Amino acid sequence: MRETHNCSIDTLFTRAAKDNVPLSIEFELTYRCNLHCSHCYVVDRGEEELSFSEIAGILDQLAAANCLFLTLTGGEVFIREDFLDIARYARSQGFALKIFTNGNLINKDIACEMARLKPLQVGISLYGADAATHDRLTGVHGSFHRSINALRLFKEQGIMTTVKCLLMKENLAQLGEIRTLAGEMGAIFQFDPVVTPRNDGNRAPLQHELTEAELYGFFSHEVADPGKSGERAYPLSESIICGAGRDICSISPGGEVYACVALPMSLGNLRQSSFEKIWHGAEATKLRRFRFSDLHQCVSCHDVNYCIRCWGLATVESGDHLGPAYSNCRIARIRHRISDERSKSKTGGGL
Amino acid sequence: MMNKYLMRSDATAYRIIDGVALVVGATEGKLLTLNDVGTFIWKQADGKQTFSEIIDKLCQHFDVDYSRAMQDAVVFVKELESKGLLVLSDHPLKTGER
Repeated sequence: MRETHNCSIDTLFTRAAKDNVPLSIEFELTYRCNLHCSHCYVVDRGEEELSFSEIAGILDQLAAANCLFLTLTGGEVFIREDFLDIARYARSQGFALKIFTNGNLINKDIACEMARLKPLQVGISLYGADAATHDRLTGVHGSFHRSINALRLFKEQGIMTTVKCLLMKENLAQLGEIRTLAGEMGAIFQFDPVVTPRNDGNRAPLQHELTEAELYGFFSHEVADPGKSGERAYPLSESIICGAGRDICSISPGGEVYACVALPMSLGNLRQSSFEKIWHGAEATKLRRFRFSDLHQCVSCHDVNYCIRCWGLATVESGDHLGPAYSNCRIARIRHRISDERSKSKTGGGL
Repeated sequence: MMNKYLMRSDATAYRIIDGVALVVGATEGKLLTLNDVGTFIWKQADGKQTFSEIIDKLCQHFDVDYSRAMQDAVVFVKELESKGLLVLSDHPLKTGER
């Protein structure tokens, strides 16, 4: 008899992408939110939200399709009065559950209920180290203290939390303090330096994005190795673009299936068709034919090995899903520059 | 240990894909893939069978002798028990309990 063995998550997702197993799905349960963040990418398309019974039926289908990681997100999920029922049903179907919330509606009773669900992780957005910064960005007075309170309540219940912070002009100087605060709350700290346009292409959130100089400073100080991406399993031109529509996808509050939460490319609607039919349907199949060689500018870009191109970002920025994502180009250029500078300093500046 | 009931912890999530069990523990968040023997034991760990009964089935399924099967199964169960993924209980899981 052979031994049991571990498998890296990267290996697993690579295999799932190859076999088109939707291993990880983000389910946006509502676009309603109690905060008014001007940097938010979500666009409320006015869809009629799925009912509990519709959602339960969809979760059955996702479980049958071998989805393992299910993220319940919004909007703000706790605005739905049936959210805990949905989460309980999801756990009963064997999903590893992640829940994204701003924490503003969490009280002790809800935190206790959440602990019983044994979620893999609860992600809470935090945009500042103090109320003045966070509340200015969320547009709601008191939101900072409510989010911190939620983190405290989750910690008391032994729930694993992640503080998710979008880095913006307004909070960049507080990065260290936010990280410390997350540590005090027992949370993992995750930050993202890329502010994206809204899903309909509206560029209003970009008023918050970091300047090139700020990004340079950030990557110089915060990122130990801004260098080349890891070894690729295939020649770049033959590589798939990303896992969107292969091992990941997202579902909107009205049942629209998207290749990814960031890629507003519909594969079909679950009110009209089953998940299996959509996942193996014409739109999904078409999407999976694309290879890196189809990215007309990226394939010959000299920053390509420093780039983590987002398919969705390229689409919402320019409408050209095979074109470059300019926000990613900017970061790749900076990473390349820092990497070159570090190499030169190691070799004595080329002397 | 042999007369205890073996069950999957309620703090786990899993799927069986192509005959391979992928198991995630909520406490560690770490992903495990199990081989064919591990997957067999995992599927049988429904809280209604004792560890000994599961080993009997393991012997039949893989055509191995009891002592060899037990040796490997004990190592496997102890490892997953220490990770909080499997539970050995004195009492069987009641229908509808989970």
